[in-house]
Amino acid sequence: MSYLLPRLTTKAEVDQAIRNTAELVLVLRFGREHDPVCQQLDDILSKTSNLLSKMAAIYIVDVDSIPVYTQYFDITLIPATIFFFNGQHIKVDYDRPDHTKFIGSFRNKQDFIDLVEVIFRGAMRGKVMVRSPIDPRNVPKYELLYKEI
Amino acid sequence: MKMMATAQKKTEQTIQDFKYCEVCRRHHSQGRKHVYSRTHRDNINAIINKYGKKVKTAKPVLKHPVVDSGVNEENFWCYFCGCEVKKHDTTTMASLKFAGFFRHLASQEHRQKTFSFWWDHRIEKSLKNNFLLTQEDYGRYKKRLVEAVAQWEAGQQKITSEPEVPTSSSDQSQAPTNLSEVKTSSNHSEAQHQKVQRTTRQVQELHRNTGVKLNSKAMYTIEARGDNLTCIQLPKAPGACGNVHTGATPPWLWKDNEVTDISGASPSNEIGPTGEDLQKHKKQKTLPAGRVGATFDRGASSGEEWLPSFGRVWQVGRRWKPWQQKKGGRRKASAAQSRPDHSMEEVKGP
Repeated sequence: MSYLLPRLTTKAEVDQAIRNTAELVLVLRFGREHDPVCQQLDDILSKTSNLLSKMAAIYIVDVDSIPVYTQYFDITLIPATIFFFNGQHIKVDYDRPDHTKFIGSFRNKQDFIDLVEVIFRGAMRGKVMVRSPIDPRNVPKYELLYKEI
Repeated sequence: MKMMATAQKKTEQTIQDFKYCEVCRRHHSQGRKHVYSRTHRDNINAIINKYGKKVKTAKPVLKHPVVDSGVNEENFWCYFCGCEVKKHDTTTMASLKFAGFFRHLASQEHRQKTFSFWWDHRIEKSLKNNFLLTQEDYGRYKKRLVEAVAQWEAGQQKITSEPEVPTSSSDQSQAPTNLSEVKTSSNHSEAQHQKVQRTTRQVQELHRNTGVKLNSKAMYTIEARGDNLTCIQLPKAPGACGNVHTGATPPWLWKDNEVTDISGASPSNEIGPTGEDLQKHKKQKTLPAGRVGATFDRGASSGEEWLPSFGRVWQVGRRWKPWQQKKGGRRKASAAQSRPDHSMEEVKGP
């Protein structure tokens, strides 16, 4: 379903999307087209993009095409979904080790819609960090091992 | 007057008759008989069993003292002394397991209290020694404990004195040219692995102690696992520019980036009004002034010191509340606009 969503392939395009998306939640999906979990997520994103058109702009980014962003967002597990509002990265507390991005696929469309809504409403009130409304049981489990730079 | 005095005397006598049993937690007028009553015996047995179990678990440590890293502040209730005592001795770095427990058992006060407890409640004398620690035993335990602590400290020093791997050199690692270099690099990777394990342990401890996620530390992921999730190739070395965890300047705010359109079409091929014209004719929406990035200047590129600002977690109020307010406000406004003038007059007329 990824062909239904706009695709960003270069760093300049991603920059443009982040800087020029105004008063909307920008959703960037970092992943690969043929990864099964990415396909699940793409399905959810493409089906909700119309419903969320007044709240969010959803773009698809290939992890391998823009290493700068992959490195900046420290993406190790795909799919990773990152949210922005007016050029500001929004952090979400998912009850998981990483709150800079959502890792894995959403359980259903409503989970994604709820999350975008919470981010949108939070951002409109000036919040750059929000708590995820998704039931923690529906958030994929993962482990990350960090090392200091 | 006489009558009242006699009444008072009677009540005093009755109060004196009653005694409080701490084991059964009730007053009784049975005198010494109470000690032999069934409930009292059951309670005493329960205490002896419960306390006996605690002593049993601690006994092996008497011969082989245990030193744990981390603070352990646990208390236990001494039924004979009727007081709470610290179970373990803690220093800033480590806890000596059951050290407080043994000190209490060996103390003179506990000895006296135990003897009087046994005398008061008529308990079998052979059980008494289980709950006491002789001074000789305690002295031997102390000696062993000193050795154990020395051993533990030596182990700790070993860990901390290991050579730290300079990460900056690993950043600019080049391909080894001969065998000896290969060997050293493999050693480096082992040392790195150990260091990683240590840092994760520290992080886990910090998580446990404070319950706070580390986000101010400069770090990057070196290992990731997830259910059904693909792990992409991990970065070998963190770039000089840092990442989202370090709070570095994000790539979309770098100075050197050239502004190009997403569509990729040249401006001459565009059909219709320009973006600026469209913005001019667009209805200006009323947006909250306090929203995120309200003053975000999209044209300007930021300096090195730019950092994303942190907000607190949004927990106050319900999510539908602002929506309802907004909707209510709109409805009022639209109602005011659509209301025809004559209807107003009608209302005013009568």
